[in-house]
Amino acid sequence: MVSIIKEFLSDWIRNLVILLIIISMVDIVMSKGKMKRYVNFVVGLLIIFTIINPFLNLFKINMSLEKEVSNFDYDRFYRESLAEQDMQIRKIYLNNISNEIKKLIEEKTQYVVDNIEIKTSPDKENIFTIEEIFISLKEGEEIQNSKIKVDKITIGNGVTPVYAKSDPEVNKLLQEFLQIEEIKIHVSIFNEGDKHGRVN
Amino acid sequence: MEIFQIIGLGIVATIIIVILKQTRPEFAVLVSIVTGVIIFTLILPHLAYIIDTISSLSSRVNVDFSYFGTLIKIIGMAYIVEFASQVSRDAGQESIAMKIELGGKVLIMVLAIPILLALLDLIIKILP
Repeated sequence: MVSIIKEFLSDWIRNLVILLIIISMVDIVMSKGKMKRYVNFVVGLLIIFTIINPFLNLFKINMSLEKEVSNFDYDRFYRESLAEQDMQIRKIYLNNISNEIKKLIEEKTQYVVDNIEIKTSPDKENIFTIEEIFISLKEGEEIQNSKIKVDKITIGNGVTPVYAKSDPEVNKLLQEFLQIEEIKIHVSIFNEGDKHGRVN
Repeated sequence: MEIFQIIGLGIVATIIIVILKQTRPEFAVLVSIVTGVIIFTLILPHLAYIIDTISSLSSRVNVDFSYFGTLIKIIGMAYIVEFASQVSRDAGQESIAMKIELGGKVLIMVLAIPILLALLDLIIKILP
């Protein structure tokens, strides 16, 4: 254990000492001019790298600066950051639109929104258009209470198909709000019993 | 001894320029540019020797120090840019000198960006 630490420290210190000697040579060779600041900047980066380099092994990170630098591809970097940006925009867009729909439905109707799924596709100007929208609603508290609750009814072999109701009023509301064709809107309304099988 | 060549060249050029400035100032600029180029070519082999020493020193370190290639490139670029901008400045073209420096700065930054990004990536990976 002691020998490992000794080796680690001696390696590290040797690297740093050689680097500092090289840097002082570079410093002397560079004439005093406006360009010196930029050279110093890169030299500073290299010093930081040398200082943290031994800790890479400690954290089991396998990375070589040389490989990263020589493989660096500006176009790829640019594309990746663009794609990431698009993803984030899409996420925020979907989130906002879901929140708006939820607010609208809960204000105007007596249903509670359970889940919203939106399928989008980017168009030419990179603005998202809604391809399809799936909304599942639950009946709100008041309706639930006013209804006569029916326990699970089993007919025949016990397998009951699940039907979801739809409400044209909700469809119309959404169509007006989103300004898309009605065929793209799929609303299904469940009530509490659905978790066990459909009770109609 | 090369130092005497450089000194001699410099002093002779200075005297010529001082004399020429009173009679034909347009030739004074030319003499100063040519002197600069000659001195630069005289020191080039020695500069190469220094760079060789630096790279042999860097190969002694057992970490991958081949990114010294980038450092040496940057130093070389800084040298050339400085030299060219001084030539322009000698000829009284301050604005051209500024533009040469601008080009040098931008290209040096382009070389430095991969190192910067790799380092940033590394630091982010190390931090928990």
